[in-house]
Amino acid sequence: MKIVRTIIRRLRALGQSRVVKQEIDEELRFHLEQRIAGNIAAGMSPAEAERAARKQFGNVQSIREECRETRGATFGEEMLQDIRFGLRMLRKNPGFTTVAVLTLAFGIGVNTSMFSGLQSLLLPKLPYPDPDRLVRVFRTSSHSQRWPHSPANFLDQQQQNTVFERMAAVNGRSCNLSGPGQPDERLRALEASADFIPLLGIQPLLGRAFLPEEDRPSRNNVIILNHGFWLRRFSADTNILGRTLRLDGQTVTVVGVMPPNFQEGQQWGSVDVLRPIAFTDDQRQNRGGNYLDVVARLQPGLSLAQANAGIEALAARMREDHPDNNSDVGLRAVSLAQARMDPRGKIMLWLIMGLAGFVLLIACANLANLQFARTALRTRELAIRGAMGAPRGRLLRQLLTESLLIAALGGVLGLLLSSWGNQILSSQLVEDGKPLLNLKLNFLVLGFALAVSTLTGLAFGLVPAWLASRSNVNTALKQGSRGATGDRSQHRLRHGLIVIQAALALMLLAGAGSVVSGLRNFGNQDPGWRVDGLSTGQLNLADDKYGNAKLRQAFVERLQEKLAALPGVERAAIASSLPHSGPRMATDLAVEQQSEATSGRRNLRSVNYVSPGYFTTLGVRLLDGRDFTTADTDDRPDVIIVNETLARTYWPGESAIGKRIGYPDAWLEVVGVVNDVRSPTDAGEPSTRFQSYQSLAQHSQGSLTVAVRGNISAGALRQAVAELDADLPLSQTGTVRAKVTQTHSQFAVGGWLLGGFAGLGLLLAAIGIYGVMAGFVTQRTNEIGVRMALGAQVHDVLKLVLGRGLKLTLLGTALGLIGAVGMTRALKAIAPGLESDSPLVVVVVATLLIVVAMVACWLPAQRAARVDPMVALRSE
Amino acid sequence: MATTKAELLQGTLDLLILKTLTVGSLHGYAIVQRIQQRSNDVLVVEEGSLYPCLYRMEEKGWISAEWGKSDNNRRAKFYSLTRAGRKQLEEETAIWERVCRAITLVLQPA
Repeated sequence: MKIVRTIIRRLRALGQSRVVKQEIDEELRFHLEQRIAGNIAAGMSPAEAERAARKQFGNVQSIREECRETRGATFGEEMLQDIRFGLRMLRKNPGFTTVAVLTLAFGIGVNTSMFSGLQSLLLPKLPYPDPDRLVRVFRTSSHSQRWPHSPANFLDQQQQNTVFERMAAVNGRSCNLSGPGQPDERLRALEASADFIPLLGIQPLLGRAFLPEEDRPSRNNVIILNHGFWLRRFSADTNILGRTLRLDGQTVTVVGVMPPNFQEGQQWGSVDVLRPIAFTDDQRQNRGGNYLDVVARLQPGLSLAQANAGIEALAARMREDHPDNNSDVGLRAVSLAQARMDPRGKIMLWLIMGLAGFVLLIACANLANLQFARTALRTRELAIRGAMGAPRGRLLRQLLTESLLIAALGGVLGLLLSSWGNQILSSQLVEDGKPLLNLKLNFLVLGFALAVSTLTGLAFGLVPAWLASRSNVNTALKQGSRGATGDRSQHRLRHGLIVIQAALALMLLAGAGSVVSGLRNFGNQDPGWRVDGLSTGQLNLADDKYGNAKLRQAFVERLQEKLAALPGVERAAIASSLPHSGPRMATDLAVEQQSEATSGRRNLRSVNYVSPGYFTTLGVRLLDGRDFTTADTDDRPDVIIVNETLARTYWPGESAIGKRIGYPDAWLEVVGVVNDVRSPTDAGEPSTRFQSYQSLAQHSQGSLTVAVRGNISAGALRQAVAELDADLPLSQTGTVRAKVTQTHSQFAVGGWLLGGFAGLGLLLAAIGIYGVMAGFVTQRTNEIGVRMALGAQVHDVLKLVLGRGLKLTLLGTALGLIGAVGMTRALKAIAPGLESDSPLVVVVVATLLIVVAMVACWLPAQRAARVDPMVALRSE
Repeated sequence: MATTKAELLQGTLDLLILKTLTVGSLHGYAIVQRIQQRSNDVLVVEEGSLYPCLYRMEEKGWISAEWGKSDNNRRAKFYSLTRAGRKQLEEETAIWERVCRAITLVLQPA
């Protein structure tokens, strides 16, 4: 209480410094006048009375100062004085100031940039009302913590739940928009249940949300346009409501347009249109096909933990009622804002942020060292000022003010650097022409930069300032210039800082080195198929023209023939997906005559539906058995081709051909074994190592990917498709290599970023080592002079200085090695796809660090070797 | 003016000011005058120590200050005791009496 009152009074005094001064003056004047009046009354002449009064009163000036000090009125003035003095000192030492400010600017800049990235990913603000109550619900199982739901399960949950106000299911898919008057286009549609838009709490910009009755197959011929698509395709036409469009050959009516903020904070990619999800009766019964994303709004006042406890009851009921599909299922609600970041990405981000923190730590150690060196040089000045009566607290404050000034300058410059860095990063990290990250310098980021600057200012200013103010006035003055050596504890502290810097720099270098080498190895790895010379495109066979498997299969066969016959094309194939985008589908792996119990938990196998010739087109080798043929049709027994890993794991030492896998009621016969394929874009652990291929002719698909080996343009591919069906757009055309390169370039940005951190850390550490060794030489000039006078050779002196530097660096390296091992281990856990040559990398970076440190020591050592004994001894 | 002056012991000025203010609010000059009168001109408070002392006591919350009119109708700063000040006075008086008794005991002829 008392402290608060004092602070308030002080603050008020700070603001009213002049008022306080005037009041004191007035009070003292009153006293003086009363005394004069008293003296006159006692019989003195006026002149005599005044003289006597003044004499008795004493020094008005010093009384006034003492009063003001008590009131804290001088605090502000002294601060201004300190700042002015500090600025003068910084101007007088431009070398020190530049190095210190730049060091700090880089440290703060790097961290502010990383923090703005981190906060945009980890703390995104959802542009919806009451966003804390929005959650995403995942189905969990032994395979995954983030699995989608089947329609039947979702409908049960929606009906039985007690913790959510509303639940909605969404499903992203593509559809074809045809004419009129404009080229056909493949759109990204989000199918959503009627509750979806009200659940988010937003209103369409134009028109209305879907009505509950439109969520049925017969009534679902309505569409809501997303803002971006409305701008692009319809030039923001406000008369769009009620217009009809041809979508997948169906006529749909535009009933609304979404507001622009709908897309922000979304997790379903960029969406062009919204459709009612409108489950058919078949879909309502579907309990095995998990493909729906579920979002929900918590009931008011309920916490996430309460909700999770509540839905456990739902999961228990699912396990009980439908054990065949849901034996090990669980449910997990995650805040919608957090849900779009997968845990591995989060760890990666924290890791990058942590490495950026290392840069800042090195910068701080550097500054503390610089400050030590400088306060050591100023010991005499400080001692004299102390001897003249400056209180210790005042000296401490002065030194701290200087540190904070440097921190403030560094902070401002760092902020500029980071806004510039953010621009570069944003322009590099793009997907489909849109920035991946929203790197804005908002108040949170500014606050972060401010806090970091202040903390570093205090951290690197406090200890040296305290040590300097503690130094004994007498010894400091007596020792003369030798007083600058400081005491032993200070030496040990400075050397300790060098060791820490070297250790941190090594860890940074090792981390960055492992990632960069891992990325290079990853890019050079054999993915099991030939990426080069392959072109691709995607299309969607809509229900109106291709309503049954026969129609679809007929089209696929014609398309494959046509593509293969194009000039320049060697081979062509059609599949549900290509390996570069990772597997689209995975299903439980059941093997005939092999008990599940042996493995403890069920494995998954990825499924790709492919046409004959897919393997030769992609360059995947057939190791055993045969490829699919045109004879593997609908009316023939189901066949399957598996990868080498699956075959070896389940039938070790024997041929997989003729074995059966699939589902207990529908076994598929293995007819071929192919080599494993890998996505050259995904560095994470694949969801399964077991891959399987089924015949497209036996399981026809609407959403298809074409693969063409040969020299052909994207235009020619689109033209070929259009010649078969003028209404069928081929989208996402291009070479597979280009798509892979695009993803790799995002990795490369990460690699460059870490490399940049490491380079910066190394540079800062080198500056630190140089600074300390230069100080060492300056302080030992006399000693060196004496040694040389007594016959020491140049190489002896070099050895003295280099030996000292080497000792510190080696100690730091040894410490850093321990950290580096931990760092590479952590990286391996995060990105198992990045196999780096860790031991080699660590050896290389450790050597690099030692060489750089030796160069940093070499310059002061040279200066030491040039010491003229005569000059050195005389300077004492 | 008194011919014999006693040097004030460190800390006793606080006590004297607190005691003086028990009669009501006074300005600085009046405090000096009153202490001098009541001590039969033995204790003369120096202005050089009075005002810093007043400010310090105000800072400690023992006295509060207010601007008002003096007898001759001039603007002056009046000081008065606060509750904390009264408590402080009691404590310091007790200590003072104990010290006085102790000194007297020491000075008594053995």
